[in-house]
Amino acid sequence: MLASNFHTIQNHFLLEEVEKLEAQSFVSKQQLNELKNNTPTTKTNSNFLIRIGFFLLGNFLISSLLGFVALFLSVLGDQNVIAFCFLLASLGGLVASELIYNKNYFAYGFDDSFILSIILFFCVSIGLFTENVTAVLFFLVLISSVCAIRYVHVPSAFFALFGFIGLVGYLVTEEKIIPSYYLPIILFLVAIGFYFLQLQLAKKNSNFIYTNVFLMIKFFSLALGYASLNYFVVRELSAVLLDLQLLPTEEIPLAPLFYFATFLIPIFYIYFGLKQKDRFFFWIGLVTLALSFATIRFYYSILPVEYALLLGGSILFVMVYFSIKKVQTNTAGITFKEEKNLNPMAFDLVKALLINAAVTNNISISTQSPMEFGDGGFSGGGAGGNF
Amino acid sequence: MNKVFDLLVVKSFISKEQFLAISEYQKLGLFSIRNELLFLLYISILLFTSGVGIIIYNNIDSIGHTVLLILLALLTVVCLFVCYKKSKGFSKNEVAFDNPLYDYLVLFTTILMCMFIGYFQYNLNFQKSNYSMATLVSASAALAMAYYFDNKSVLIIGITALGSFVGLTLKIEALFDSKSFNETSLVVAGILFGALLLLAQWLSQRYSFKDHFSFIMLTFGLHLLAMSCFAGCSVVNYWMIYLLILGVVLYYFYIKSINFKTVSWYVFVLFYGYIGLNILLFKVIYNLNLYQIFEFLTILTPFYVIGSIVLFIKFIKNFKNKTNVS
Repeated sequence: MLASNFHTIQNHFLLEEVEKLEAQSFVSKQQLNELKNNTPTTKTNSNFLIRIGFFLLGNFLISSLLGFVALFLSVLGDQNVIAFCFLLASLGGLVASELIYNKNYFAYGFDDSFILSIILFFCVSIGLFTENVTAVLFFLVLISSVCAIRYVHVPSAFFALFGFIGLVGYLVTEEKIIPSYYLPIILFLVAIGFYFLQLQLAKKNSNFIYTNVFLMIKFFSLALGYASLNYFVVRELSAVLLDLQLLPTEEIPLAPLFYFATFLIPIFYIYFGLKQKDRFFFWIGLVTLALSFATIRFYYSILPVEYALLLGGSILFVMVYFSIKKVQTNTAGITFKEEKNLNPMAFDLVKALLINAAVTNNISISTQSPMEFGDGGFSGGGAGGNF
Repeated sequence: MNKVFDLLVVKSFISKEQFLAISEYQKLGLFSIRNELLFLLYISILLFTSGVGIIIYNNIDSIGHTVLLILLALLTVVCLFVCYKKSKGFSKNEVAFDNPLYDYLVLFTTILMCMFIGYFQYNLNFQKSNYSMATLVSASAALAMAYYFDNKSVLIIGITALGSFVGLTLKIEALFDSKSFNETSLVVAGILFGALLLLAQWLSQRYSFKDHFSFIMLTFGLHLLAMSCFAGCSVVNYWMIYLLILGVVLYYFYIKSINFKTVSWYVFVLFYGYIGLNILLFKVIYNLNLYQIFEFLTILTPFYVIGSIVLFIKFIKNFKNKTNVS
């Protein structure tokens, strides 16, 4: 199912976790370096800038190859032949991706461009063959999901989700398999479905390497869940997609539901994020709440803008001020302390356990090679005296 | 979430004791919402001040410019005073406020100061609306603030203002002399300003005077110099000189990026170097009139791109090796 070795990819993600633990001083620098040197892992660019650079280079390569081939194929005119050429290009992308993954490159940059080229060329070819939007969207979902699973590829997962939404939307608005008024509800149900799907899949230990893919699904489902019931989105999209001509005073069908959801969903996200200590929910909740206020102001601007700004600023300030007062003294749970001050060494129990760990580690090292005894193994335990 | 740590133990990446410590830590359920709350605070102040700004703008006739200027000056002085009281005084090395919020106050004060200077000139129509002087004064004020209060964001404002002073002065002089505006002088000024930044960084490192500002100065220098050289390449006759300067600059930054272990400079050195190389290639093809073999060159491009990918991978590996060893 996977294009490259399961364990090397897993090691790559596990090493990233250990790096985080090292930053929190659970793990000593020495241990991290040893692990880094001794663990077989993938060739990955963790730096996003380099990854984008290689992605661009990969795109140059593909486009120059296409230009090269097009020089010879410019005589062809038949649509089916061109479609066949695109199919071949997609196969070429597949072969290239397999080779790249066999060389143990993973999320390096140019592999992204080849994997995405498989999806792109295949869909173009399907489009030319069938001239049918449903078929193109269906294959977009299918091929992207296969790529996302086989190459543990996050951008492909995004395209799969995107294609799925497109497919559902197209089937409802153009093919009219069910009344179009239900589209927001259906998309909301789809969002819930995706959320619980990733929740279930993420529970399995063997799916650990797909963590980022699941995060993408989670982000997508949360954003879709909000957008599908947002009043602005529903109203404007029904005007565009369903040709619903509304006067400014008229309401869309089920308007109370959408008003209600526009505010309830962000508040639920924020509440859930704080309760489950899930930063993802919390952030999306804050952003969507801001969007909700923008939505309401778009339709009902009761106050002139300057007084709205003054009022909004004051209310927000007071709310934040009291929140800070409330959580300022907390030492566990939700706190106002800086992230870097949440050093585990500040907690007695954790500190005791870690010093214990450092001692036992030292003993095991010293029994192996007495020469390394004074190697400062205590640095992990003693140095962070953050009282 | 704990399955990650289970896996780590199973694969013996971490020891049992470390695992216990981690789960004990996790039980505390710490969740810092500091950044979010501070961000919201910042937004609320922004909303409030823009509201006030709009109200003042609407009622400018009844308030008057002089009152506003005085208010602005008063506010600036008060902020400056608070910053001064809370700071630990000047030091050649890195100093921080006890509370990081004061860094934002320094930034706010500097912005107020620049606003005051600009508004002052606009209002009094000082120097016949020649804004280069105001920019220079703002730049000096910002740099002084940056060095005294040790604030990097303010340093960025200062350098940008100084750069725009150079640009503005040149442009205005060209206008006054009623010459046709010559881009060469701007390019040369850019290169000189970049060189000045490199010199300032070298001096500050040499005398360990605010050494931690090096990073910002060099980043500015790298991008400014590279952009000026690319702009210079469009000048017909002297493109070779600019490419030569680019080569020297990029080599300097190649060394610096390895010394500073800064991957972003390294990536940009590669990027600019690649663009420079391609400019050179195109210029050569153009000047030698190699259009006859153009189709042949098209066939060569895939190999050229593959070659560059291999080269880039080699360079990145080289960087990783060099920074890990030292």
